[in-house]
Amino acid sequence: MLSYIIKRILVAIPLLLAMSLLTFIFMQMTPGNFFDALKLDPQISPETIARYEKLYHLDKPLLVQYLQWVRNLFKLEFGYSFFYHVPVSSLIAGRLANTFILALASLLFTWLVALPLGIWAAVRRNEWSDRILSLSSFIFLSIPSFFLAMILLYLASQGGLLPLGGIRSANFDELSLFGQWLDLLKHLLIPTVVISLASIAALQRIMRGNMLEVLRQQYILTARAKGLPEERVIYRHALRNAINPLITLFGYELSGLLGGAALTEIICSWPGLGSLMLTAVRAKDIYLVMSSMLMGGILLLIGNLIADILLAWSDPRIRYE
Amino acid sequence: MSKQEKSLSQFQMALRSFRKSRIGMSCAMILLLLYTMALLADFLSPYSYENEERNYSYCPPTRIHVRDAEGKWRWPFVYGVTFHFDEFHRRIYEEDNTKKYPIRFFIKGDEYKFLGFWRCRIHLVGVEEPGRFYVLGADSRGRDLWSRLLYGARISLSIGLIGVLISFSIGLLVGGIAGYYGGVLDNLIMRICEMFMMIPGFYLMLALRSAVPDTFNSLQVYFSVVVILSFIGWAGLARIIRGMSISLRERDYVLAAKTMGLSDFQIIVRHILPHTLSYSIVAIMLSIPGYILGEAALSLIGLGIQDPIPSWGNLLSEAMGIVYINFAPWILWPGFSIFITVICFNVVGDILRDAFDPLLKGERNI
Amino acid sequence: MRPESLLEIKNLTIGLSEEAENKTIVQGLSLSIFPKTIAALVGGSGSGKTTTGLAVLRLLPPVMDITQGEITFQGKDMLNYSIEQMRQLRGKEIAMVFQEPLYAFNPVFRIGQQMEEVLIYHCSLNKQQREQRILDLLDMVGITEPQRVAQSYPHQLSGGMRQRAMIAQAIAAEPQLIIADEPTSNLDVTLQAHIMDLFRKLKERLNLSILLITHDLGVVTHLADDIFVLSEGRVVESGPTQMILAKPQHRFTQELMETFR
Repeated sequence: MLSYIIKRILVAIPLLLAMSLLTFIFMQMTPGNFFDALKLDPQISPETIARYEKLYHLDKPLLVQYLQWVRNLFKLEFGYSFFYHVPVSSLIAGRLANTFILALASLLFTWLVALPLGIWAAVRRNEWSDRILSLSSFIFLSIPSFFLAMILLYLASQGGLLPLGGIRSANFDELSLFGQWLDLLKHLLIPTVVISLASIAALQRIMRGNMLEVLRQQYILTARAKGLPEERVIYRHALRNAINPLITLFGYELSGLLGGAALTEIICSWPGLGSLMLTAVRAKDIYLVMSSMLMGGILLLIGNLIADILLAWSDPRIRYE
Repeated sequence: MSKQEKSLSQFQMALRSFRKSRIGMSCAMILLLLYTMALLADFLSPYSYENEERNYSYCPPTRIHVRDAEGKWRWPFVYGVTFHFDEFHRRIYEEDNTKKYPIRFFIKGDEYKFLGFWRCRIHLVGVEEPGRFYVLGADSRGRDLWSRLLYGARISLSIGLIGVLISFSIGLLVGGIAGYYGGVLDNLIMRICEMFMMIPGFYLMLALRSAVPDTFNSLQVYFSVVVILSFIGWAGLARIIRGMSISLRERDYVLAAKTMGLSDFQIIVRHILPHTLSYSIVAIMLSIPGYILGEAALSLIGLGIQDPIPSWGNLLSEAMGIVYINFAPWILWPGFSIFITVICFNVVGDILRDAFDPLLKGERNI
Repeated sequence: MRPESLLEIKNLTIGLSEEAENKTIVQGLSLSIFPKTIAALVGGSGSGKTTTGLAVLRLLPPVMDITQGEITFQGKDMLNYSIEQMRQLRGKEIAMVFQEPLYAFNPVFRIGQQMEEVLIYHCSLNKQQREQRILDLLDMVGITEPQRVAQSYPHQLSGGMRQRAMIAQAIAAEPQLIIADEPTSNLDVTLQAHIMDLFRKLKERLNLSILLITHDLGVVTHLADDIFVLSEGRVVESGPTQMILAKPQHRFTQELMETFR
């Protein structure tokens, strides 16, 4: 299995590089870069600008600039952010952690809610509770995430209990450890719910479908014929099989979350990779954009890898090949 | 019956089955209504999308009255509006009973070009100046939200259609070619697809958007947004069509076409792609929401269609300043319109998929 | 004098509920199985034999209903049992062996684990005793490496070993009756012979009765004491096997025998 993982990573590396090259080209296609604004600024001397350009190799041909950036990647240097005046790596690390927290929270919330709901719906197939769940799932799948975020933020502003975005309150440093955790949870709630609702709707449907499929299988009949109590039949025999296909989904969902939560981050003012990317794009901060894209791609890749590993581990039919 | 004729009549059967579904037909009707309203936006809206009146910033929806102050029944009318500032320097509006403006139909208002050709000034409904008729309320610059919603529909709904059509054309062709030829070409194309699919969609969208020059005018921005959206969607479709193409290329009618001397391209377009039709139609229906949402997301964060041209996305960007929602909740209406549109497309796509299902199964088993 | 019957089915009628045609799968079926007897329920596909077997344990799918008849086990009317009583019966008094053990075993649990479940719910043994019993059972059904098989997943075993393991699972709680639904139909001829020998051996050693559901007369001649011939949901002929097969009275039985010449 290790060789499989290594192979996948090796295949992914040229893809990631190609992606970064593509981004680089796109960024260069934009007429004007960050320095044009500086050049217009009468307070900055031409010598300073020339010095900056030399520092960031902007005087060399494009390909050299790109290769220089790639070479620096191996030193874990991601270039310099012109907009923030700090190395990109220091920016990305913090934001990455925040995006990760949000993704993890959403993942947990989604799965802890969707799985029981799916099982519940399968066991009560076609009863009115199943139908209502089905309808609400459909609605939540269709609601635009940004719209939901706005509505929830509006309700929060009415209620006054939850903060309206960001990651920590103004008085964060004065709070006790418990208070700080609670503060984080309060800020986490709305973005997590927004991101999770659509996933819950989809996942619950899939879980229900899987359960129904599994409950039709022969081994369920055997389990009942052995005189096992119904709970054991459902929660051990059926569930264990119904979850299998979902385990790959877990990994893909992780990767999807890391990439797709960007819009919600922006609306809820959650300081993650997504909002960083937006600022970078607006400022035409080349290396920041490229590094964020690369990070996004890497996260996607890791998510997919985790999915494959989990699948191989959980299904003994594959594991013992 | 030839294979092509047979698949067509199965297609008709599927459509008939779709027509039987009440909810499917209702949603399809709603969509048709929305698109018609978008088309006739100039006529249906009381004001043009640029018609500002700063003194009416965030004016609430105008109430229609049928009884006047004395209690007498009258033709529907609206009152004039006055305002004063509160402690937060926000405007508080009150009705002014002394000024009555009856609602008029086919009233002369802002000029527009009907269907792009005829200069016209007639609007379905409105009130005489200086009265203002805000069906859904006004935005920060006193522009009528309802009118802007209608005009915005043009952008949001059309981008969905055009973007999807472009993506699908690319995806169909690329997938069909890759699957048909196989070998190195197939491999190369699949690697490219994987690369595109490896980039998180939103990030790709932002990166592509940054490549668009600032000097573009609205029309150019519109097309850039369409192109950007298409860029994201084609890869996934290409992969699936490629899979179907691979299984289809061994079929008898393909071999027959080859012996008849048809070129590869003709075979792909005339024999292979039509059999992906049912899948494609369903996939199109279910993808359009993604494009509408994509444009909305871009416009929402200011990177899409720019003011003053309205799109549902940039109309919602006013709601990004959350405090305003409290004060003027009607700015959330564009969100509802997106929501309704997305739901309808999802319902229609779902039901179409069920209607086509025996068709799809049949195709796979042949 | 023949002893009391172990399983008695009288006038059983099973229909498809909600079916527009109101199709009946089993029509007025009656049969008796005596202790330490192998009784064969023979018929073509669609004759209702599997349905009958499932009905005994009340494992019919929700679309089917028992509309008439009696099923008596050890003198007690099973159709009046509650679900809880049925669960106590299943696996303990009456066990079932299925046709395709690859699908009848849960693919994600080991054989030993699945066998142990029967012991956990029907016997009072501690963990060690259970483990030993599993090995003994696997040995009893002719498996030479019981430890390895118990640790294996179903897909890792050969077809023959899987079927033996399934039988071991069935006899785990020492049932009185085993319902075997086409136990040899998916095996090759040599394996068939082995499994049939196994059934015979187990019947002697454990005082078992077996309701053998099959379409294969070859299996029946070698194994069954009594035979019930089923056609379109009815028993058309029944009696001691040798007698019926020597002189088949009913047209269907005769046709069945023709195909086996």
